[in-house]
Amino acid sequence: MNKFKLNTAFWRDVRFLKWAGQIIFLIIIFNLIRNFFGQAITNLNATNLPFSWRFLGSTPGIQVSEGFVTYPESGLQALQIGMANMLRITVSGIFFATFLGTLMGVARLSKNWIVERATTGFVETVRNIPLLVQIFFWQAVILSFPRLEEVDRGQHVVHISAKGIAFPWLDPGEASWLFGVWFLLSFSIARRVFKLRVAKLEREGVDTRPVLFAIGAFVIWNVAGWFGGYKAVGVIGFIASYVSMLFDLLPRIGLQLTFIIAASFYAYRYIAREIKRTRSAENRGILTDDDIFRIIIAALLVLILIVGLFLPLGNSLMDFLLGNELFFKADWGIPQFFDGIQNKLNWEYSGSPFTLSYPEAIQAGSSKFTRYSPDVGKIMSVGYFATWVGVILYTSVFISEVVRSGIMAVAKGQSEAGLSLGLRRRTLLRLIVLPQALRIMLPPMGNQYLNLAKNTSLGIAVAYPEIVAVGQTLYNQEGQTIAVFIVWMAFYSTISLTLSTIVNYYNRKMKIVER
Amino acid sequence: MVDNVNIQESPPEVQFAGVNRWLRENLFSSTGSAILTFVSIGALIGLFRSIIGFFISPEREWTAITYNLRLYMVQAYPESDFIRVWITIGLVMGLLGLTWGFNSVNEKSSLKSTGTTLMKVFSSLFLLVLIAPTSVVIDKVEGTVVDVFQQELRIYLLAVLAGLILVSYLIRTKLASQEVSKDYLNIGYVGLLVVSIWLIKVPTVTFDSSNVRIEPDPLLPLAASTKNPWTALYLLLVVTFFIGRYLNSKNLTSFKRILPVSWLLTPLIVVTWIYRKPDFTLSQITTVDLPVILGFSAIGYFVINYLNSEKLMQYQRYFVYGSLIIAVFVFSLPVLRQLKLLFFLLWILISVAPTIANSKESARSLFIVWSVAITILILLMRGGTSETLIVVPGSSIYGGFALTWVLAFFGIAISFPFGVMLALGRTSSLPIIRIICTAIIELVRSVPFITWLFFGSVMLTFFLPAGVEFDEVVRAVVVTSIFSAAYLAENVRGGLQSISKGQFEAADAVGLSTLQRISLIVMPQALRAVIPPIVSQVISLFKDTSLVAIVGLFDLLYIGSKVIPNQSQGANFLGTIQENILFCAIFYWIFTYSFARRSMKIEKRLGLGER
Amino acid sequence: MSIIQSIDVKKWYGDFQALKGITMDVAEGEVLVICGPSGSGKSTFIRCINRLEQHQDGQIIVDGIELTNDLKNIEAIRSEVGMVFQSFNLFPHLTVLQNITLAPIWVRKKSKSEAEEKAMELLERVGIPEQADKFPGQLSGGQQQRVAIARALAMEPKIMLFDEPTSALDPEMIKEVLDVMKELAQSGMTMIVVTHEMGFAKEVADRVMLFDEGQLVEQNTPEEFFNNPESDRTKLFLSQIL
Repeated sequence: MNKFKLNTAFWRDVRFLKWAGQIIFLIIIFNLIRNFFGQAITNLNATNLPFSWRFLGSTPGIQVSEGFVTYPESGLQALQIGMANMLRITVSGIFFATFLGTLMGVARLSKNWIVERATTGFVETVRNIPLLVQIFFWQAVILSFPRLEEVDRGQHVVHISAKGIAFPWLDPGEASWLFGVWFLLSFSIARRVFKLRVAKLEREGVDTRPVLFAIGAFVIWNVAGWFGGYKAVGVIGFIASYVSMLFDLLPRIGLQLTFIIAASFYAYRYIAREIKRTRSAENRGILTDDDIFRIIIAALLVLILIVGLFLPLGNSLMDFLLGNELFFKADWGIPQFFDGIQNKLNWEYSGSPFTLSYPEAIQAGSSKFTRYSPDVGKIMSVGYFATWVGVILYTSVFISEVVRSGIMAVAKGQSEAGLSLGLRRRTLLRLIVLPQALRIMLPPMGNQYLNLAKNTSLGIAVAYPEIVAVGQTLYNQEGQTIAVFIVWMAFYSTISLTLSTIVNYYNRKMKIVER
Repeated sequence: MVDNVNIQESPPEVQFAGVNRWLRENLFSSTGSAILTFVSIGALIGLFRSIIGFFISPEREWTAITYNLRLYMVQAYPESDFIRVWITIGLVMGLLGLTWGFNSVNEKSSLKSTGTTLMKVFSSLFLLVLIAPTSVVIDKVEGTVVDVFQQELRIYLLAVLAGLILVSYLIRTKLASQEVSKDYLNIGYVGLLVVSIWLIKVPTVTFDSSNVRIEPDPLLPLAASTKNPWTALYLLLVVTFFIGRYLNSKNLTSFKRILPVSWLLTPLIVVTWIYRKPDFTLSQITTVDLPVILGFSAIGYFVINYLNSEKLMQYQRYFVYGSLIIAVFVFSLPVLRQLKLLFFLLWILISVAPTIANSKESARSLFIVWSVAITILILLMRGGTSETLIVVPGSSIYGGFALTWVLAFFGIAISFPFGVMLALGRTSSLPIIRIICTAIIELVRSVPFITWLFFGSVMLTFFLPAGVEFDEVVRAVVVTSIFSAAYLAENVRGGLQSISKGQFEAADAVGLSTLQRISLIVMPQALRAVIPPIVSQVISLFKDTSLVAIVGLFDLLYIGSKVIPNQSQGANFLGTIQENILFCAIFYWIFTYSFARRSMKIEKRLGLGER
Repeated sequence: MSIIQSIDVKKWYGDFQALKGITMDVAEGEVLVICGPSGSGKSTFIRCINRLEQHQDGQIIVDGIELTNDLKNIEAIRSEVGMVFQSFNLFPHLTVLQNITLAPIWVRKKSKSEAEEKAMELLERVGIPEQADKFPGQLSGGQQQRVAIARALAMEPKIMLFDEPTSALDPEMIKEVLDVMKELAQSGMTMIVVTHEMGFAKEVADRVMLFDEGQLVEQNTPEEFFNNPESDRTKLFLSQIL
């Protein structure tokens, strides 16, 4: 009856075919990469500029037009200036773009015809013009202002010229960090008060005005802090000084060991839990590529930790990679870190945490030219302004689209259900529509933030020294193009990973529980 | 189920609710809304007044643009070879007309909606003329006020526009039930554009015999040197439209296959024959190419018509393997490149012919497609492999808008297959392939486009063997397509994930192989689902091509932001940055906006077809 | 002469065992109805028969070919076994006719005209020839399921598998699908049907099986199964469903 055979020829076996194909693919890819890099090494050696990281340690002869330092001492510092400049635009850009975008998104849903039309017109205009053109446009706008002349010398409140925009700014005093921490605390205090009042409202059924109370607490707390209350934060500095001393006493090798063991343990637990979770019945034991990726990355991180930092070999490796100017000293800079905290949060500091200073136009050195004094007020350079405005407007337009479709995507039935319960329009928006719309909006919003971060790189076109511009200057000087490219890649990957981690965290937190 | 319901109640006519009610509902629904209305009207009027004032101020040197239009479009392309550019555009135009006519669905549009559109346009213009400023302040000399808009002109314009509004209102009310074909309407609109080139006159920079600029600039028709070609092209478009329509009425199915093939081949023709001026002799074509074409057409005819007969069918797989072996063998021989390619094509033809050409009619159309395709390919290879005769000062023949177009088009076209493959790899069940594809996609996407352009312009040469050098433009195209492929892959992945598991299972259950499952079931559905994101990606790629200005390629934006504002020979346009940037902005805007609108309409139509 | 043979077939999803050793066989031309509570493994089992799921232990032999990792065997069995799904799984981007002719053209390498002729014949048989040029989205559930049956039949299979073909249908549409299935059974097709339609089982089935928790609890002729069930599990199941 049956004449089946049990042994399959291996070249017809699906499992074999599957793995053979993949391994061949891997070999091809591997060879391609090897050829490319082999070629690159050969070519570079031929140009007398072999690949190296040494330039990170040596002093480049370049000047950066703005940043926390303008004459960097090392290549690494030059890149750090670029990173800081890029983050400066990104962070404030995200803040303003979100604000503006939300406003426009709501305006586009407005019942007022003219508001809706005007906003839509604006959105359609901005989003269909390349960002670079817009950045050039804003540069041209500010360059069309009169140049800074001798008559302009003196103090101003706000002053705009072809050199940029100058406006008043809060100059930090020695107690600024103390007050900063105090200020951050005020949010949690206000939140706490709000919750207490809401709890009372729910318990006793009387209007306890939670919002009013929260704002009151916020104001009182900060006013108290401004006039000396911030000194209480100094406790942290006090403790930090002792922690720093403690670390100085410990043998360094012990510290390294402890950290590596802890890191390995957590990585192991993480991977084990991840595997166990995906092995459950409903997931049918299939690891998604994200899971595999996460596991590989976790394993890689541990590996880097162990190889890179534990062994003496590791130290010399890092030395080779990053030059002598390493943040990773043998003690990982932990005592220095706590010293820093102690230094910033010293309770012996006194005086007003911030003082308002006004911009001033002064003579540039002994020349006949005029410039803004870098010490008082704040000066927004042309490059910064053009990039900043361009990026914000461009992103906010896309955010408005996200907001609009997010609100519209909340099913109409939801509003109807709310209205049928007798909720007022405002309450309906706050309790029913917005919480759901936020969930829908979050992932695309994260994408827009990522785009914003990447788009700041266009600052290079208007001479704003962010990381790409600085990198380019650096490799024009030193010739290490590949190394700079790797730094770019690492930096931007870190930014996007960080941003997407934050977004994913909130996404998971806010997810509606479903079966 | 009741089929064929003929009795359908038509919806009640929506009555115009009256101006009062409309205002109350849309502008003055509450006190806050009313305030908002007044504030925004005031702000908008102010804004438009200043924008118009900016544009018509005598300070603006708009001749910087009209004089440099040629530079903007083709940069340094030699004037003696312009006919090639026009042929390119003519080719595309003709094909466009054919496709348009052939696929015309003869949609009717009521004159009512046309009238409404016209009325809206004219009323907006009327308002703009009404609020335009009479005089502007000039920056150069402090406090000077210059009259820019005479009162008589304003009244004259207002009267004309009012008349036009009245006419369109009459069309809207009196002829509301009349219907016109949308195609004719669109042809009319394009015709209006062409007529405007003849009629609208602008100040033009001209030089006398001793090369001194004539002051004041004489008024000449807009882009005077191109009005004849554009008119000819317009006529070509109209003629090909009707030809396409005629062919459609004849129900030529083979033409349906030729059209997409020609669209695929057009960019190749453009690059190999128009951007290059191939150096060859006619004898080469008659003695080498023609016999090859005829021979392979004959072989193709035999394959298509006899291979699927009963007798030969059983040996089909031997034919396939045999032709593959021959193709590989020929490939290793030192023969013409054309032959190497043709034998591979023949192998493909032998593999697919029995399946596709299973009726007399489809056999005929397959044969036509085959002959046309190989003829064009052979000639293209002749043109592409011979030396070019066009000499351009500077590095590259591509510049201006031509460069923008080439980058965007080839960026997308090349990235498409790679993007699809990466997406398939990323969703594959094979872990190694999946991880590699994921890594590639994520790495490419994590850094901004500009760093990739730097990679292309500075680093790419390191990774290539010594002596292999690409043109700067080619390098830009390469990195553009790498970059766009990664984004495309993510879009396509979205489409792949939207396909239910049941579709895969059903494909397995009817016995399709993996390749067939992907190409017949999965990809068609996935691609249809991702048309909207892909279209928006194409738009953003078009915008992103402007970034090549940073790495110093002479694209539209580079010319506008760096070249013209530094022009001082001939005519002096130093510092005309505002005008040029605005022109670039408007130029990009027209393209992206109309493309976005067009695609939105197509999406809607697709959505309707699906139900 | 049994056309399907299953010997001690086992399958796990992670730690969860879905099939705990199924041994059974189906004779040529037999109509077999499998019933059981949800999660009992009945769907998993018939999906193993044309390898939409892989069994991990035991043997499945279809028409003398064993289901192994052998690519050729898998292809051979799939073109001999037709399957109809609970959720139809018609290809939404193809017309009804294209849905039916797709596999004959690409897998069986038939000419298009021949495949179309056969497809029209099948549509005639399932009673909806007038819908040939419509898209699946334009049909009712019952019509879609009949197209799915025609699609499976177009490959001229020896065996037809039905995975709860009527569960996703409105009551008035169930009958039209069952009628097609009855006609098919009378024409001598070998069929395995997973269903809750006990009326269909009584009328058409040659044998009825009950699955529970991955095991084959009882198999019998319909008369015996419904009137004198052997095990208590069957009695409980019947009391809940009838």
